[in-house]
Amino acid sequence: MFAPGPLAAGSAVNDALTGLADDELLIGHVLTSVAGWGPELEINIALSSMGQDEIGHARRLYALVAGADIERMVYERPAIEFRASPLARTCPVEWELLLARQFLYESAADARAAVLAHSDVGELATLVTEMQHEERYHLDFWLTWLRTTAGRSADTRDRVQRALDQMWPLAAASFLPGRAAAVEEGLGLPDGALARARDMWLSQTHAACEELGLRLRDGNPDPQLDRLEEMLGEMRSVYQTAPGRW
Amino acid sequence: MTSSAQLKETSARQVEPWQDLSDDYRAAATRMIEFHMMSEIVGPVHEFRWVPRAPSLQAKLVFAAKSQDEVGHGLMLMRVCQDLTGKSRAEYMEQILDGPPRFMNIFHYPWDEWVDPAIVAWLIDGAEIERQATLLRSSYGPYARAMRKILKEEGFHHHCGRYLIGQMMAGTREQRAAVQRGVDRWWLRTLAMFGPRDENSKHGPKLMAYGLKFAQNEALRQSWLTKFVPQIRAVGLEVPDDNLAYDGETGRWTYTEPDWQEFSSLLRGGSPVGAELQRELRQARGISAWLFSED
Amino acid sequence: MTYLRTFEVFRQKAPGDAHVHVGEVEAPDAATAMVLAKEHFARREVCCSLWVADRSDVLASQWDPEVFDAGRAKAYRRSGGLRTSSGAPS
Repeated sequence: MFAPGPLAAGSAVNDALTGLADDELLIGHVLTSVAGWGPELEINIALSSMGQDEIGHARRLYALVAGADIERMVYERPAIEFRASPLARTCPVEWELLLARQFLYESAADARAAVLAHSDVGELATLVTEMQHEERYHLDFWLTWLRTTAGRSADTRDRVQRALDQMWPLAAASFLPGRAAAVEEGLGLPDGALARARDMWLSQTHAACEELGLRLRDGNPDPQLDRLEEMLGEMRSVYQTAPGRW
Repeated sequence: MTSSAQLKETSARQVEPWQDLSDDYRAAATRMIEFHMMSEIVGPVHEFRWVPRAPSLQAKLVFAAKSQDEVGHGLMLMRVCQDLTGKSRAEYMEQILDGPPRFMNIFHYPWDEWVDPAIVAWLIDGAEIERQATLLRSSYGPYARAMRKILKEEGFHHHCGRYLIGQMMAGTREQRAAVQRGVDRWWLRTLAMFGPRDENSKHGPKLMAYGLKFAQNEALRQSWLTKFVPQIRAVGLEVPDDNLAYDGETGRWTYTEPDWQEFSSLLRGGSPVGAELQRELRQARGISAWLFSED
Repeated sequence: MTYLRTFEVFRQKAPGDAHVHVGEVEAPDAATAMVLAKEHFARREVCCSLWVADRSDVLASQWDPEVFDAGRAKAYRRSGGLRTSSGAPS
């Protein structure tokens, strides 16, 4: 059973929540950064907002697993201890890749949150419920832009399709935490709740794409898309000059 | 056509772009607001190089929010300029990315350390508040309206800078020394930013006559000194100017003059640093340009 | 024809308030304009609802302010401007 405060390192629940926090941190890192370089000023403002939301979520999730040790989790923990999902380890800059990645990430996060909000771990359920308000907008944002981008011309739809081809194999491997049964038990969730959420996400995401003339095609994940170490290196480059004093 | 005398008379009620404005007024407003817009669009390139490297989660959030605001300011001023001149977004972006570098002097210097964006937020956004507060009355209505939102956010930026500097000043001896070196680097640039004394300013008198701007450059600089010299000293930093003195009788500061030749050459001819900002932004926008390109 | 269109944005602070014009965003369509308007105009400000309207659907009046003043100049439209025939306020 989950207890408030630092969890037993290596427990299934600890790993799962650390993974969620890592995902939100990396997604937030990319969105706040890319907000200077996106396609248009209006979009950049929204990218930064969503990135700030995600970093805020990461901070609160880290507090659940690490108590007061949040900064260490972000700025000092060895890369090998990160539990981030394959999708969150990518660092997309091009609009079509960002769009594909975020649409898949946000729709999965939405489906997962619907389950986690019913955890009998009060702190987690409260946090997830609050996160859902922000995630609702995120998903609307990306779904709206997916429609507009893919719907403009055959050329723009092809671009989005190629981006989905890159991101989908990573996303498909990203939904479930390791040792899902133990996580469900630790969080007081019904047996198989996460797998059922994944199935629903799969069918909804396939349907949403189909409606736009897009397909989610299986393929092999490209290991070169894993940019975790590079992102952590940049994130920590100032911190490392005077650890712990910022 | 509205004569300048009429305009001055009617500036109390502010004018709108669809009204019958004289070519001269339109040209003066365009020059002033385009300069401000380009500063708010090109300047953040410096900041966004540092957003991913912010050294704490709090700094990351604060600095992301600050640089995001700057993008919003660029957008609002872009909208003001577009409605004033009828140019499209694409035309303005081309002008900004490929045209002459008409933006503030501070963006023509390198921001090579984390203290640089922090000092600019603290000292220079603090200075912008002084100037922009006077622009709330600007005779060009859309500009005055944009300034309301911009001004509120600049207040946050100043505090953001104070926070980041405060964190470093509470750190190691090396961190404090780095902040001091930063203040040394930025002092004269900041004084110069207000522009030359008004008798030497080329466009100032006309802008004042049109009610587009109100405050004299030197008056703004003086009021900034009054506010910031004590602030700088209060956090344990030195003001790097041996000639700095306050005359209690005249209520004025004397100070070492910035290099005005350098200032005007930056504003007129640009710099390698400024050109690099334009190039970097052009390259970034180019990556996703297909999204909005005309068929 | 440009791909980006200008959308006027209106913000409602609290239920019961009017939607007030706050500025513009440029977007390909109304749906994208809406998701952009939210963060540009309502990330810091109090807001409970937004409208976006294509600028090309807005008609702006071309009358000088004096044309509007003329309506307000009619004393009989104001309660304080009414007098009975004996001169007493009604």
